[in-house]
Amino acid sequence: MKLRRHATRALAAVAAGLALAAVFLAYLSPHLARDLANRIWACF
Amino acid sequence: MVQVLVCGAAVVTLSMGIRHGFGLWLQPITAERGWTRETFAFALAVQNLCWGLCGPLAGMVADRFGAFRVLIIGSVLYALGLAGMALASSGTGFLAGAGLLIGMAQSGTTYAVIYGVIARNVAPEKRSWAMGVAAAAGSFGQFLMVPVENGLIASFGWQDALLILACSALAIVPLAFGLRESGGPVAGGHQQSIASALKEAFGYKSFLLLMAGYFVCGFQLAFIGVHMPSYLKDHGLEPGAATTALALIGLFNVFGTYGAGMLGQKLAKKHILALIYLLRALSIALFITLPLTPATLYVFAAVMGLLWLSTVPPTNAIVAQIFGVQYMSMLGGFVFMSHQVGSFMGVWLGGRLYDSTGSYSVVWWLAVALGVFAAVVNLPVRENAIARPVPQTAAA
Repeated sequence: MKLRRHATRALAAVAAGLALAAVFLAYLSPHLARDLANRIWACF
Repeated sequence: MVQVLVCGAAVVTLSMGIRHGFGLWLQPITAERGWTRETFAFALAVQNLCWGLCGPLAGMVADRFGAFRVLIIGSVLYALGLAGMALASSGTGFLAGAGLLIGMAQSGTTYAVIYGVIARNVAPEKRSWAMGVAAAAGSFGQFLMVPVENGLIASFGWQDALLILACSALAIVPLAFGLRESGGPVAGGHQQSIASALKEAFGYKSFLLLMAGYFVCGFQLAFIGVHMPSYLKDHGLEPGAATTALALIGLFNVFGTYGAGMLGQKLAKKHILALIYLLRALSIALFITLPLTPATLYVFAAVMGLLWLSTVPPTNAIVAQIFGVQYMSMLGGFVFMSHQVGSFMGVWLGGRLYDSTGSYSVVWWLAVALGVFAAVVNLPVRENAIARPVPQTAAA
């Protein structure tokens, strides 16, 4: 039971880590980074 | 508890996320409608103020009649506001949709209302952690939605992107069913009227100190969030640096909010808050003192990201700890109102002092001084449950 709880937590942590990494990489993709930067920069 | 946590986290992911990328619409909307940037900016400023001012009222209704109804109304207002943003052909219509409707919607679908449900459904020993989970979900929403919204605008155009978001906001309705409460008095708790709860809170020094600290939180975040790109541009940094900094703030914000909630289970929350404000002051002071390079910017963005919304779980957990959970949403709403007034001041003073002095230096140092002030005012906060007269029961 305890092992199962630990496994569930570890799985949740891995899933959260993967989701965060995927979003972070999305920010760094050249197309998006350029597009986003232009939109932010254009405001000033 | 799991159901409340999952549904609450999903609601704040949506409600905090959708609004976070509104700046991306500035260019396309003003260009197509022929409006000034002031028209757009004024609507978003009103939205933030409306969010803060309606917070206590939304909290009051949620505490009295249950969060479910408030969430349903909030979700519908959110969708209507987004549709209004897309379809408004006049500045007044845009103000009504983007400013008033979305501002009211946010007050009914964000932290104050969700934290009330969490506080009433999670045991006190796990409350800070649970609030950290919900805050981390909101932070993730903000992190996630900027690239998503940018993609929606690129793929469908700005107008359809807003209408797609309007449909997404309606997803809060089914999630609200997972946050249904019976409403009315909290079983086993001290029963108070709304007026008596307000009188008690505003007569209690620690509540006012928490409000003062949260004002500073709003001031610092809004100033950095709005004026940072302009500051970087003035210092000759490449546009890509601002995007990477934005991504780092978003990423570390998720860790910071969750970590603050976790730490709140082990340490005095007022000490966590004092440390957060002190570290913010120190980070800002170093950032503006050291030469500005992409490397110093990224370190600053990561540190500020860790400290970004990490004040949310400890501040709200202290409110629940002192006053109990009966009027948690309403009191949380009042504390957040102070945050929003600080946000307004941060954005407005940033622009005003830049115009009058020609640089952001004065406002940066003001943000440092306010950080030290917030650290100091949080230290004397008394976290213990407020002492209340024990009602006399008739002898059997």
